[in-house]
Parts: sequence; structure tokens; C-alpha cells
Amino acid sequence: MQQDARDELKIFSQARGARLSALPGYAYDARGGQGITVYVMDTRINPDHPVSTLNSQFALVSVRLTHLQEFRNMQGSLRWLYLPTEPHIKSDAVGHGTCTTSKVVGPAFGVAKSANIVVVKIQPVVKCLI
Amino acid sequence: MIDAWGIVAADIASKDMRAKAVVLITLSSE
Repeated sequence: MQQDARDELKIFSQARGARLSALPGYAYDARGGQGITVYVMDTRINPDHPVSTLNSQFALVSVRLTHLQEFRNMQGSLRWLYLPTEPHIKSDAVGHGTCTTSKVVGPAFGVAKSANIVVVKIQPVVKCLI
Repeated sequence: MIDAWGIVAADIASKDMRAKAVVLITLSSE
């Protein structure tokens, strides 16, 4: 049970008919996705989250939600996949992928805190707000 | 996008993770 979970995480363990405000936290299986590999196709992630590399509205949201350290204590493994033409850079200039990945495996905001992550970059064509 | 799918599919196949892999596309893409 994660007692300090935000409502957006609590709803994953919300029973039918239960009031969100009455939930004590986010209840999840002790395995937490251990042994499962999640490929996140987004703008990559910034594992160390240096603010200086972030330059968009998404990044500001991401910084606020991840408190600059979301991936430092992640339990699963982290791998990067690159297209043959891509430079092997471990960063996320946009911040969107950093934020969404934290919602998968981040110790504070992740739904499957022990899953393994593979980071894959795709090119966005439209902006979306979280 | 197709190229990205290709490397993901190849990685899953190479590690025989077909029953243990989840692919999330969390960004609108071409």
C-alpha cells in the first residue's frame, strides 16, 4: 500500500462503488510488475532529470510531478533502444516521455513499480497535454 | 514510427519476452 499516492494512482486500486476520497492509498500486488518489460514509445526519458536540458511546457509539468529524482530509485532495469540512424543520447529534450514513464515505474508515481523499462523514441506530430 | 515498431518487435523476439512484454505508445506520432 502506497499511502501517499496521488488520486490518479489510487484509482487503479479503486473498487467498484468505493469513494476515491475514502481510499487510504494505492494498493498493489507486492510483485509490482516484476519480470514484466514495458516498452515506452515516447520522447525518451531523462533519467537524471537535469532542469537545464528541459525546455517546454511538458518539461515543467514533468519536473513538478517527478520532483527531479523519480528514476534514481526505480527498482527494475532500464534499457534504451535506438534506430540505426539515431544518436545514442540518454535524454529527453521535451519531457513528455520522462513524465509518462514515471507513471509506469516511478517509485512515487508508477503503477508497476518493479517493472523493467525499455525506452524507445518516436517523433511527435502534435502536442498533447497531460 | 514503423521503424520504431520494428526495433521493438525485434527486441521482444530476440529475448523471447512475448508473454511478458507490454508496449505503451504514450505520444501521438506520425
